[in-house]
Amino acid sequence: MSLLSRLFANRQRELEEEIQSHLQMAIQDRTDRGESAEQAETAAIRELGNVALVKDITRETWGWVRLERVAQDLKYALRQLRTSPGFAITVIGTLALGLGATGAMFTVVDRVLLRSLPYEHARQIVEVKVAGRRGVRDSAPFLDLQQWRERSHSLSDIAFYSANNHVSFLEGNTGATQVVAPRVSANLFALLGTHPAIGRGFEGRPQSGSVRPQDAQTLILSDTVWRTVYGSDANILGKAIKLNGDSYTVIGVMPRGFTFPFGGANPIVWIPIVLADADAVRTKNATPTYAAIARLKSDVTLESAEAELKGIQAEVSNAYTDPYVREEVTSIQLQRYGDSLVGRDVSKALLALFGAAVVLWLIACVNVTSLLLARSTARQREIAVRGALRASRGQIVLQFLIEGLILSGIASLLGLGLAVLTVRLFEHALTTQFNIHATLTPNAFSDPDSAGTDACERSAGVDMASHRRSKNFYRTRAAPR
Amino acid sequence: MARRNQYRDRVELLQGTLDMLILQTLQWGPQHGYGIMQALRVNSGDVLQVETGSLYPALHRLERQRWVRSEWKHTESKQRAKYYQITAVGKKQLASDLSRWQRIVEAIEAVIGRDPREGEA
Repeated sequence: MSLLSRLFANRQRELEEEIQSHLQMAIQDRTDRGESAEQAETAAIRELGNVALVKDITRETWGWVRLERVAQDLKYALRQLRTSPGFAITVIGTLALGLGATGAMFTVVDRVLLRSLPYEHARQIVEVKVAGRRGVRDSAPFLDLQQWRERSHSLSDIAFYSANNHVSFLEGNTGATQVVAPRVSANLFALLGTHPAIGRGFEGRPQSGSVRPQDAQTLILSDTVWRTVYGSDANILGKAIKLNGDSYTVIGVMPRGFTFPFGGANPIVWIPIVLADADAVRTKNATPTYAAIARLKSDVTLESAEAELKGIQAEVSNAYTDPYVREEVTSIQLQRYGDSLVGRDVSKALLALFGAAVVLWLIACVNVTSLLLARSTARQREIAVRGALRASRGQIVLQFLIEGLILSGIASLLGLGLAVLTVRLFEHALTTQFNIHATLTPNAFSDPDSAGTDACERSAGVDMASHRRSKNFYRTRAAPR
Repeated sequence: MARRNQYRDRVELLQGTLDMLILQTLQWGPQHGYGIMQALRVNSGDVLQVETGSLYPALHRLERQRWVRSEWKHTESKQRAKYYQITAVGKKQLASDLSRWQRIVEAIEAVIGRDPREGEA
């Protein structure tokens, strides 16, 4: 702006000089023709006409006059606000409070309810749970899973894992690191729509999805672990590393931003599920059970898939010999993976709170509107005077608009600050309550396409679970390896 | 306000022709605003009196359209003045302006429908 105004001042001065030189030449001509100096000057000035007007009209051809007027209105608006600080503070305070509350609430709602999972067509990914007389179970034995796989026509694939939330210890170059090490089936990554960025995935058996025995002691690293524990070692593939004292060979590294199960705080490595003799039977407490995750075929609804699986499971449950156990596994519950991450009551409470915040914001808006209306009534005199001085309707409206923009602009900045502050204050409670492990910031600061993304990521720590991840995830996938 | 509108009207009225006249004058070499004004007055036999309020906006507009370019120089009487010079684009523009002007004059004469010599006779 200062450069522009300096440029403008320069041209202004040049125009002034040009007209002065015109005047001097005119006077010179007249004195040369024999007029007295005084006579010549008066005549030349008369001939030149209204200098100010000439300059004004010339300036208009530069096309900057509009800008100049806006700058003037801006100055004038600021002066108006200074003369009535009470009004300005009330308006700004009201708006800022409304915006701050709504912004903070939306930040939480966005992270908890609206985050999109960083998987391909995440809405098709569902969790398959066994239900029965005594409630819903998160996991099922392999034999049941295999029946679903073979009989169902609404699932394009079904994979399984055992979440294993216990902390494992990964022995790295510089001592042990705490990680989680879920066991996964070979087809899980493909089902989620991704594959290792470096190396390969687990070798699987196509008919069951389980991992072949020769890959039993292999392991896949997350990008985070690869970077932090092994310093992005390019020769990581084939290295033997120790997890909880057992030796594993690294066969792959997942793309940056990929995580599964979603939302954990700890760095992750994945180890394979290899089927054993225990998986060939359904013995209570002896047969391992796995959480099942499936992808719906693109034209299948959640309801129809659930109905089909319920029918299948009714038959499958007949295979259970123990009648007590049989009653527990007679049905199926299907839930979208994204929905399964947030409890139903939590999402209801959140929406209610968000609704309240929005109402608060609306009230703030109404209050400010009535304040502005009252003030414009008080300023009718001023408007009339400006009108009498031939200010056009557009100019008057523009001035009021600029005043409003200044007020709401300041209020928005304050409100954003307030939102950040609120979220910071309650950060601890929020992260434990909602299992959010991302740094909570209002969206304006965490725009994934902004230039500051890298800085944000660094400050957000190693493992971030936010929608930013999805962008990076797909970006990494798209990059040629 | 009224005066301002007066100026504006004049600018509009003369815009096409004034631009052409300025460019035509600049064909004989670089000239400053006052010089252009004098040249127009003298060459038209004192009929055309261009106002500064029309001349300077026109000059600045022509400069913005890159039909002329300007430069500060000293006159013979050591007076610093802004000299305008016609550019290649300006010359092209002048040529098209002149032919358009010619067509207009012919058309108007055709409408009026008499040969000036007949009128004298």
